[in-house]
Amino acid sequence: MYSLLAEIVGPENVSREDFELWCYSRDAGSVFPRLPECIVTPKSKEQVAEILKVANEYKKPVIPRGAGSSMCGAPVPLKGGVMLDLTGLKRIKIQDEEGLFVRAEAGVIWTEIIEVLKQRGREIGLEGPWSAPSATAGGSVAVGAICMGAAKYGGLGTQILGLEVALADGSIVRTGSAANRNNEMVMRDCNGADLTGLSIGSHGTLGIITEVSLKTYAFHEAEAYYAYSFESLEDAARAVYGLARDEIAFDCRMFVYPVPEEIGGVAGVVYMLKGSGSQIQELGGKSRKIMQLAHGKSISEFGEQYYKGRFTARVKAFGEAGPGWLEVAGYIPILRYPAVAKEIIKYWKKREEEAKNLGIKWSLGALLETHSINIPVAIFCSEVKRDAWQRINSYWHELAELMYERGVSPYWIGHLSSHIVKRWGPYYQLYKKIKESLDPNNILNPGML
Amino acid sequence: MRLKDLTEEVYKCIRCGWCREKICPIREELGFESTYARGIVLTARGLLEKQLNYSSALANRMYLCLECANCMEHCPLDVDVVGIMNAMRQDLVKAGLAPEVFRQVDRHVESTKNPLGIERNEMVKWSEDLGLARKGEVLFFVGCYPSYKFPKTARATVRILRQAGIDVAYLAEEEWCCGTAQYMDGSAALAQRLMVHNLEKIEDSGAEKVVTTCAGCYTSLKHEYPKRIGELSFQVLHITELLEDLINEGKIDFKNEIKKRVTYHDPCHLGRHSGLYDEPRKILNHIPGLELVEMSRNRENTRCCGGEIVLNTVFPELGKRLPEIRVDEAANLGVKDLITSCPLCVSNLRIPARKRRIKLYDLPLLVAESMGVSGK
Repeated sequence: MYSLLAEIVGPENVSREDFELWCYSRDAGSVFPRLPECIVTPKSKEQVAEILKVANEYKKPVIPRGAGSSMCGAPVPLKGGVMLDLTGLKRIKIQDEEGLFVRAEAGVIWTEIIEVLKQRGREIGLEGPWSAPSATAGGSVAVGAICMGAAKYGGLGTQILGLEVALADGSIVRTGSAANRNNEMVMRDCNGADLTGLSIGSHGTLGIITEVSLKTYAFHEAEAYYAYSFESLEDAARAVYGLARDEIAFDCRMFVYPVPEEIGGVAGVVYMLKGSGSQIQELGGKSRKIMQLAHGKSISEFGEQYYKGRFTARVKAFGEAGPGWLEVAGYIPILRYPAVAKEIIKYWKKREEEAKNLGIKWSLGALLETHSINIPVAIFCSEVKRDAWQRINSYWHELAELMYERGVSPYWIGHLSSHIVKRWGPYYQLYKKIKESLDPNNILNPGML
Repeated sequence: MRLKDLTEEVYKCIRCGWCREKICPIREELGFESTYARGIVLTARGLLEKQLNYSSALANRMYLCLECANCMEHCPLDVDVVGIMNAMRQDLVKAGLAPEVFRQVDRHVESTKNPLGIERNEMVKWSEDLGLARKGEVLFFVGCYPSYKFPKTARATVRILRQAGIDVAYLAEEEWCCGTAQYMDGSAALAQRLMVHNLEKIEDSGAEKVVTTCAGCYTSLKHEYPKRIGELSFQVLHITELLEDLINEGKIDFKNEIKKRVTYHDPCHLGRHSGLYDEPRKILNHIPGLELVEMSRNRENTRCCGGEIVLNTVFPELGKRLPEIRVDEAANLGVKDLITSCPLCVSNLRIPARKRRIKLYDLPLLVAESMGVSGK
């Protein structure tokens, strides 16, 4: 089989060296390493399709991988197999003269899309996930990543106009308007059933995304940043709710544990506005009233400091707290946030001493999505300490159980799928039927969902 | 430093991957994780955790890294990738697994005191008619490449400095290879011997300032000597630093107009390793008639032009391709002249530059031309 793969992509793009397998055994999270059997670096969708045909014939697992910057083990193989490094699919296509949409191959990184569009006076709605300078369009869609700008634009699915997906049998499907060969990827809601949605968040279990079409917008004129301190979780949640209700923020985050020193109080809320100068002024005024009504205390400068270095600041914080880390996250209604957050705080209170002894840290925050709130709990340790590393993995599973039981619905799932599957019921049965139909030999990232 | 001494540094990496796209020239060509910083650090971790063992295949991969440090420039956590790479290479050398080309280079250095393996008596030829003293306040540490391959640069440097009132001293055959290649390649003990020798000879010369045109020698003398063998009793200057000072003191007279639209390639050793970005540009901007335009990847984000010895020998395709990409960047600007300030870069870039009909200058040559002291 490996010689067939080498014929497809060229021998220089296939590796079975032990060190190479090791390098693909992890993502950015602290899921324990698991080795694939072979790495292939295709450069085109046609090569991806051919690889799938061969793997399907040999019933060999195929694990698609973008940047590998997820933290849930999405590209960490559960059953060995062929790791497809899709970062070689890197073309950006802007065919429409007006640039109202942009097509990016699976391996294109977010910051590059942003840069290319900026030169044309355009931008995408969402700025990509925490790892935007490395995260790929295909990988982010495959795990349903939450992105910077979710307060205004919601989940990634809202920005997608169509996908190109390679299926297990090696066929290639274009979804949305582009299903019509004579059309472009300009509209998702076409042709009956929304097959685009099948791939969003599928972790590559139903097909391998080879191209993504995204909406673009006029480049914003201005930005403004705010930070507020609150003395109760309820007040902070009400403030965030107000921003969502009045459609104010481009991005909004909450800090509950730890609250940055510069903010203080029980919870901190930071948010960012984007738009024209007059829009910013108007939205800024509205937001200040919402914050005042929720008893927020303005903390000047922190908002700007946070958002100007929005990606770097997060990586630095993770690095300082860990650098080993895992996260459980998912969506709930905004006003349910305080109750769930308190359960999580209670969970950690009980484990305070053990965590301290093992040098384990944790954090609790929130990210506003247009109509819901994402509640991420991160767990950090130094992986030099094997016992701490093992313990954060068990905390991870315990927290997933706790949070999912309280209604939290995750976007990426990765190696936490066992906690979800048992709660899905008919939803899982439907997914299973679709999976069996699309991938009868179960070669696509098997065991992941 | 051995890899086990860098355990904390290895574990600092969060695997965010910000070092991946358009950062590492080797990764851009080969595509695999092990070819760039994140994979290099994870490989180091695999070795520390005994999940991996050193092997010839691993050595071939680890010796691909050019140590251009662009990954470190973009690392939000400041992981010392170059330090980790050097430590792994030291372990590989110790295990006898370094690729043959490096062992060959070490043998050259042992016997001829230069990595090119050229006989010692060739080294001083460039200076024979210049009457350079062995002792003096300002010492010119010429370096192997200008001495053996690019004597015009060495001669131009002497003329420029003489014109500015500085009669430089020269160690002649007592100048040995600075040790850059050896410490980068893991031959730490050999690097140490070279450094100790050079330090002793420089001190004997009574120099208060040591100037070099080679960015590799400069990094070595300026940063690695103090780190590895102790504090220096003299100041180390790259020619671009000294020239800038001399221009500010009014001691450089650019007589000739040079009507050229040029671009400048930042050598990794001078830029990312040493932070000298403005000095060469200021000098170029002083040359009358010269217009400097920038390539899209410049200063901190400069694309490395390749590593001649390793790549040309072990990975010839890469060795050819990397300088070609850099020259193409210059050509795409529509310039006919490419300036750099390191003989190692000149050596890498010269063939593709010739093919694209781009004239390549080491900076002292252009300065000498404008000062009217080009000579032979």
